[in-house]
Amino acid sequence: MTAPAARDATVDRAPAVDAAAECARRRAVVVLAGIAAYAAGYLAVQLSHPPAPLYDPVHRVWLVGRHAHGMLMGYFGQVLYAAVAGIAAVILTALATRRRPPGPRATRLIFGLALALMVGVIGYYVVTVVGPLI
Amino acid sequence: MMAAVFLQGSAPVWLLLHAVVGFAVVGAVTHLAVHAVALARSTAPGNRGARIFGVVLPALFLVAFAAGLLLYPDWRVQVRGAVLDVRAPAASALFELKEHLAALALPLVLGAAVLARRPDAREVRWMAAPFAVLGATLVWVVALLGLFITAVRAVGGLP
Repeated sequence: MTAPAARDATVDRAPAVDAAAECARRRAVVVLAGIAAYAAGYLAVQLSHPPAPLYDPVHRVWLVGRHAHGMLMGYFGQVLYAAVAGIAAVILTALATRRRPPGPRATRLIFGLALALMVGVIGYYVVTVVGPLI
Repeated sequence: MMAAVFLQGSAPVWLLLHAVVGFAVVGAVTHLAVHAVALARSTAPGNRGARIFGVVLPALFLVAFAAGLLLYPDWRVQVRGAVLDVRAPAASALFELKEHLAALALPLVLGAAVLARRPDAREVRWMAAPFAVLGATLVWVVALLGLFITAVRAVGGLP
């Protein structure tokens, strides 16, 4: 038979475990949203050509344009946009889950979305860059 | 008179820094991936290796990435523009793949490090492993492509 003190401790521990799990799920969802938004932002810049910072290494000047012709470098702008998308997603998800932490199912769903997006974007670059070489 | 390319004179020094820290990143991300997989398979509350590499790896990665960004303008003009695009377009395309994979490894490495560092709930502790393994794979490919391209032509090389 369980002693009364031990029984009380078990009852008290359950909400603490739930709170720790909620906190861990929230942290995971915030990180996963950042990864997913970064991957989506990186590919979106490549496909939609928004006005972005371009660096001209020959004349050492920064420009804003949609296409990196010749020596112009669009990489910095693409990484910048992706990083901004990732950081914005981290902040917005942290705010959105502050009052209502995500459940286990939503967490697994966002995990799958982030992993699929990242694998898809990597696959896109492997196919479009290496494909013409084969 | 045309301005010299950014960091043109010191590019080989930045390349050495990029390479040395890059190899440290390869080691650190491989360790993190091994620890993250071990963490996913165990029921222990934490993993010392995951905690250590979860801190060390993001710092190393950001230094290597920043050194690569600083080198890039000189490489674009002196190596890619002047040599590779003309004489070795395949190497030029492989560099383009390398830069994209390095940019995509950045959130994977940072995310896996955060997830592995504080594995305080069983239902999310396994989530670090796929990202750490994918990040490690990308970093290995990036390092090998970098070695190959540098073997074809490096910054600071003779004309």
